[in-house]
Amino acid sequence: MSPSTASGIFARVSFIRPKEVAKLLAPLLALGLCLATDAALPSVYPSDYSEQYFPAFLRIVLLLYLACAALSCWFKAVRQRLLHFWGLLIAVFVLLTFLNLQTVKSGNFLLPYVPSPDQILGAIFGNLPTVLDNLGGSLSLLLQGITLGGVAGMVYGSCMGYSRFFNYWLSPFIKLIGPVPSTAWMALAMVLAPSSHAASVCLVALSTWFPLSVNLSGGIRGVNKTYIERAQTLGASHFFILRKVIYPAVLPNIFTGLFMGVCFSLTALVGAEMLGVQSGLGWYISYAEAWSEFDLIYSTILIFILVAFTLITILFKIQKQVMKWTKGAIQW
Amino acid sequence: MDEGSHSVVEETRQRQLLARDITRAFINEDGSELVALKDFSLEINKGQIIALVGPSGCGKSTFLRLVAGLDEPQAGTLLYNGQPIAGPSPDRGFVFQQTNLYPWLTVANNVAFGLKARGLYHEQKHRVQEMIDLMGLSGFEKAWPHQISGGMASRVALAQTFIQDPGVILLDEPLSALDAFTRAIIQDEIVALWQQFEPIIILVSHDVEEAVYLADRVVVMTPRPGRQIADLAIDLPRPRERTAPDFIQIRREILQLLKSEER
Ligand SMILES: Nc1ncnc2c1ncn2[C@@H]1O[C@H](COP(=O)(O)OP(=O)(O)O)[C@@H](O)[C@H]1O
Ligand SMILES: [Mg+2]
Repeated sequence: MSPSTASGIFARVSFIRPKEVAKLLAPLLALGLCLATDAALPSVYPSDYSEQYFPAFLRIVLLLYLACAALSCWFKAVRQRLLHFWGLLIAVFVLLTFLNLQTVKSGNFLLPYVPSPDQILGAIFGNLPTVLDNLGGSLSLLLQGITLGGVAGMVYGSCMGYSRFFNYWLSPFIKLIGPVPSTAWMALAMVLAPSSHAASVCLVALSTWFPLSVNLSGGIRGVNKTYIERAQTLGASHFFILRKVIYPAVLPNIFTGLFMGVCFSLTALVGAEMLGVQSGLGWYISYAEAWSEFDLIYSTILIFILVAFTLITILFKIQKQVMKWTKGAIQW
Repeated sequence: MDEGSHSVVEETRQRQLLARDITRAFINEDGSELVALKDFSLEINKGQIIALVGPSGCGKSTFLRLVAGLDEPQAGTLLYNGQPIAGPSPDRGFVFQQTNLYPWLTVANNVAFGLKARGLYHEQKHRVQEMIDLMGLSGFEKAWPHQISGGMASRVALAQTFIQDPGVILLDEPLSALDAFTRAIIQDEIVALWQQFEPIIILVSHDVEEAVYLADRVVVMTPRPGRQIADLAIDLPRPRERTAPDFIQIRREILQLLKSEER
């Protein structure tokens, strides 16, 4: 490495202010506390129990954090992320320490109702094939339902928003059917649909279709008339106006509808799996409840959190990409 | 067609745009009738700039919408090149007071909107850049509308319309949101565009100075229902001098007409 690049890197490293260094190191202290208490204190659980996953998990987190901290010396984006999340990271590590101390280290929180972090991790990694199987089943059902409901919602909402005729005949239906919770349709769907899987897909689709249609049709009817008239005076056809004026104008409504749709669909999914298809994460939770396997319940909820968060984050990332012209509409 | 229609068609041989005894009334929400224009007449020769001035609500925008084909009169004749106006056409461009630009299109794509809508973009791509250069928008091709100043937005709106080379261009208070300095500059740009493309321009303005500066004729209207009370030819050579005695004289005359109407 030539002296100039070395000094260049050095210059950039030294640019981090002391306060920032403190913020970067503070989460390490919290993580260290967690690691140390876990290693130093003995378990109060029955002697056949030994921790397997939690220490390894903490070490991996430590390594990841160190890697990010190292990268943050050179990459401003990474540094900004860490400096943004430092407080939350500390909170997470402190909470983990607290939970660990109150469970396996002292028994203050009783088994089986509150398992230790290690047991929750164990419920995931010890049953990985089953967990992945259910996760895959749920995701496939969810994506099929959201796709079906998304297409249906776009068509239905467009017709309702664009044409008075369709609005007259379609809007009463959606006003009556839409607000009914999807689980209320369950029994009927199971009987009418060719399979319980198809019934579940339909229920998830219904939950996406409803908010998407309502948001889209309202958005289309609310498009600034000047946009349309201006396009007409510029020689645009109805179809061109639909593609280049109306749909871009209602993209915020479409994404709001999809956002609500994903949230409603997750509810529908759990209901459908618990009552209908007998597989997937929703079913796994009710199975765990039947056997009082609380670590399974916690771990499945954890997976749900990750799935929902990932889906919504992807949706907002797409929105940001598609709607480049907005200054910063909806933040997630 | 009534008796007089033949002579009306004859007249439009010389007069590209002809409005005769136009009436447009709206029904309010409470059922009452609001007559925006009553027996309004106007004849415009090829290539003239006409300014419409009059009190707010006297039907100026209503008239522009009729000419654009965005609205229909209840009575009267409205002919363009001898043909009745039926619906909007790219040959009759309209620059609105605001929301002319599509926020989801870049400056270049806003300018190209009409060409794309009419399927002419591939042949005439080069005209987009020419227009952008002509309007001093070079370097902002990829900017989003929210990133540019009000003056630039006005220029993009003008470019979006003039690139279509329409026979008639309707300007509804296009510069009213701008500061006086920017307005004066863009007024000169409008004159330059007009000299290059030679459309009929109907300009609605609440600024009498702007009307006298730009127009070949200033048409003064009464309060609602709008009728024409004066049609003043402005025979000043261009570029015009806002402080010239003639200019000030005409301006004063128009202002007095407007004032006398208020009572
Ligand atoms: N679509 C409409 N519905 C009801 N009233 C209208 C409509 N458009 C215009 N008007 C009324 O007609 C009158 C003339 O309007 P307008 O042509 O916009 O006036 P201006 O000369 O200020 O441009 C106003 O009183 C306005 O309220
Ligand atoms: Mg107006």
